[in-house]
Amino acid sequence: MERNIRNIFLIGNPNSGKSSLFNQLTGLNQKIANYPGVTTERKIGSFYLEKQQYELVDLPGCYSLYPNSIDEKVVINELLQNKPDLILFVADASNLYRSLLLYTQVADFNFPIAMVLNMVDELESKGEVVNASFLESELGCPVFLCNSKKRKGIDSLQKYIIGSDFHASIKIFGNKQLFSNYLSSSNLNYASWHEYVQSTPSNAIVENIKRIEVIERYNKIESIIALTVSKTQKAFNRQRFTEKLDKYLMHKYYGFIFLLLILYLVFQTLFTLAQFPMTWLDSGFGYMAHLINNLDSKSSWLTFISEAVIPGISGVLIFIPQIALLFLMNTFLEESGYMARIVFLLDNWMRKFGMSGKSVLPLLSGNACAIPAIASTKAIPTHKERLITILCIPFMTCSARLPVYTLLISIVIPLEFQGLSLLSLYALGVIFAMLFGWILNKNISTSEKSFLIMELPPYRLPSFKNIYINIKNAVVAFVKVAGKFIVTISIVLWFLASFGWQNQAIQKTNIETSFAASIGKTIEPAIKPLGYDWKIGVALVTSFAAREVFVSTLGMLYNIGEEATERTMIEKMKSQVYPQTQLPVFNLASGVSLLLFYAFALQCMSTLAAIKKETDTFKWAIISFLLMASLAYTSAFIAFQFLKKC
Amino acid sequence: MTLCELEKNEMGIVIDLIQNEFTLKLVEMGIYKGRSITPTEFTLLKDPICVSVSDSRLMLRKEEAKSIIVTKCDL
Repeated sequence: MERNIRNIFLIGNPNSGKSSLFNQLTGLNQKIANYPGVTTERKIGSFYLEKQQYELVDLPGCYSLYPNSIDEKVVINELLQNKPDLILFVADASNLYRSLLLYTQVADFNFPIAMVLNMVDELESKGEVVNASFLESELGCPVFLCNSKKRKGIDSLQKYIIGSDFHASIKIFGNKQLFSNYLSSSNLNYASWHEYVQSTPSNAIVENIKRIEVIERYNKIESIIALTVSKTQKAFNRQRFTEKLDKYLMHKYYGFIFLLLILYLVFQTLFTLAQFPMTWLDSGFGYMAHLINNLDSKSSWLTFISEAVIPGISGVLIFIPQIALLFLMNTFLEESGYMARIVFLLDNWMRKFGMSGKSVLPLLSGNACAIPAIASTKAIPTHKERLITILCIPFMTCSARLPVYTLLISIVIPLEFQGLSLLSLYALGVIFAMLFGWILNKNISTSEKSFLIMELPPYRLPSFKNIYINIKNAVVAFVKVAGKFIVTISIVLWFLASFGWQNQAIQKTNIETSFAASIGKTIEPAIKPLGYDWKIGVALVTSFAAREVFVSTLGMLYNIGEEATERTMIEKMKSQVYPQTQLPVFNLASGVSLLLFYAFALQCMSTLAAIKKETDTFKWAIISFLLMASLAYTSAFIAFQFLKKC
Repeated sequence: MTLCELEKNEMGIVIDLIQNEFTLKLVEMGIYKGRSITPTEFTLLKDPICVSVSDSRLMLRKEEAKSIIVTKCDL
C-alpha cells in the first residue's frame, strides 16, 4: 500500500450522469456532510480496489469554474484548497462542446485527470460517433467510454484506477498571456489566476478577461470536436423525441394543464401512499408503549421509556414515509428532466413574488416537510430569490400540521364543511407564502442582478439505483438532524409535564401541578384573548418541538387513556367546559383561532435550525419566527373576537 | 435586432452581447459572437423563452434575451 487513502474528485456538468457514476463506484458507502437536495453539498463515498482505499468526492455540477451559485462555488474552492490524487471528469458525450469547456479549465490546474465519456448511446442516437483514441490524444488524458446507468465501461475505469500512477494531462489549454498583467511570472498559472479572481472584487476588466478566456477555449474545442466526432446513420433520436414532447409539455397553454395534472398526481400519490406506513408506525409504537407500561406500572424507568423515549422516537420515525416518498418524487422529477420544464412554465409567475422558477420545487416540498425543502434551495443562484424562498417555505402546510388540523376540524367544524376547511387551510398556506414573498420582495433591496440561464436536458428514464440511494441518504440525514432535536425535546417535555415543584423539592406529580402547568398558567393571560385555556397553553408550548406534539399533549392533559382512539379523544375534547361558566372550551371561535395560530406560527425548532444554517445567520431565523408569531397571534385574536360574537 | 424579436423557429446569428452581470454566463453556455441561435418555445409573455444553441437547448428570461443582438439568418 503506497498511501493510506487516495483522494479522487468527480467533476462534470449538471445532468452529465455524474451522480450515477458516483453511485456505481461507491455503492452504498456514502456519507454526506449535510442534508441533501439533489447534489447540493459535498458527497463523499469510499471504495476499495485491491486493498487500496479510495475516497471519492462528488462535487456539484457546474458549467465553468466561475461560479454563479453557492453550489458551484464548492467546486473551485475544493480545487484551490485540496490536492486530489486524481480527477475523474464526467463528460456528456451528447453535449461534448459544453463539457469540454469545463474540462479544459479543470485540466489547466494540472492535477492528474481522466475523462469518463458518458451517454455515448445518446450521441449515437443523434447520428454521431466519437473517436475515443483521437480524443485521448487531443486532450492528453485517458478517456473511458461509459454508460454509468448501465455499468458499461466501469470495469475498465476501475482497472485504470488500480493500475496506474496518475499523471497530469499533458496539455494546457488556457492562454497564460491573458493573465500576465495580474500575476508574477513565477506564478503564471491558471490556479493562481483563480486565486487572484477570488481575492479581488469583480470589475469590468477582469470580467472581460474571463469572457475572452472562455471564447478562446471554445475556439480550441471546436477544432477538437471537428477532429474527433463524425456523423453516421441516425437511429432513434432522443433530442427529436424531447423536442416533440416539449411541443405539448412546454406549450404556453397546454403546458399548464399538463403541469397541474402531473403535480396533482405527484402529491396525491405522496399523501395516499404515506398514509399506510404512517398509520402502521403510529399504532405499532402505541402498542409497544402499552406493552412496556403493562410490565410494571410503578417503575419510573419504564414510564420514562413508554411516555418519553418511545413517543419521541416515533415522532421522528412517523415522518420517514413522507420524506422518503417526497424524495422519490423529487428525484424522479429532477432525473426525468421535467423539473426544468416546471421552472420554464412558472418562472414568470414566481418572479412577481420575489422568487424564481427554481423556487417551485422547494416550496412544494414544504407541503411535506420544511427541513429538506429549505436545504434544497441551494441551487437558486441569486441570494435574494433564495432568501425569500427559504422564508416563504414555513407557510406551506407541512405534514406535522395535518394531525392538528384534522383533530381540531373534527371537533369544531360541522361535518359538511370539514373537507372544505382542510382545503382552505392548504390554500391559506400557499396564499400567505406568496403574499409574504411579495412583501419581502418590496422590502429587501439588492444590487445583485437576477437571471435565469438554464439548460433543458433531454427527457430520460431515471435509474432506480439513483432514486434508491437518494432516498436512503435523505432519510438518514433527516434522522440525524431533526431526530436529535425531536427526541431530546420530547424527553425534556415529558420531564416538565411529569415533575413539579412541591414541598421545596422537585417531585414526580400529575400534570395539573407540573412545571408544564405552571408554564401554561403563566402564559394564560396572554392567550386568553385568543380563546385558549391554560391546558391549550401547555400544548402550544410543547408543540414548539414539533407541531403534532399538540395532539398527544392534549391527550395527556385531558386524562385520556392511552387506549383512546381518535373518536373518544374527539368526544372527550368536545365535552370540555370552563369550570366557572360551563361554556365549552372548544367552540367554533376558539377552534378557528387555534387553526389559524397553527397555520401561521413557526412552531418547529428544526425548521428554525435549518433557516439559521442555510442563511448563515440567526437574524433571519429570529425575524421569521417573530413575524410569523405576530401574524399567528393577530389573526387568531381577530378570528376569536369576531367569531365569539356570532 | 435582439433575440426577443426573432419568431419561433427562426434562426439568428449572434453579432453582439450587451454587457451585463450575466454576460459571462451566456458566453459559458455557448452564446457569443458568431454562434447561431433559434427560439424554439415561448411562454405567454415570451418570458422566459427556450432557445436552441450549439446542439442543446436553454431557457432565458426576456432580460437576458434582450441583451443578445442577432441578425436574422435566411436559409
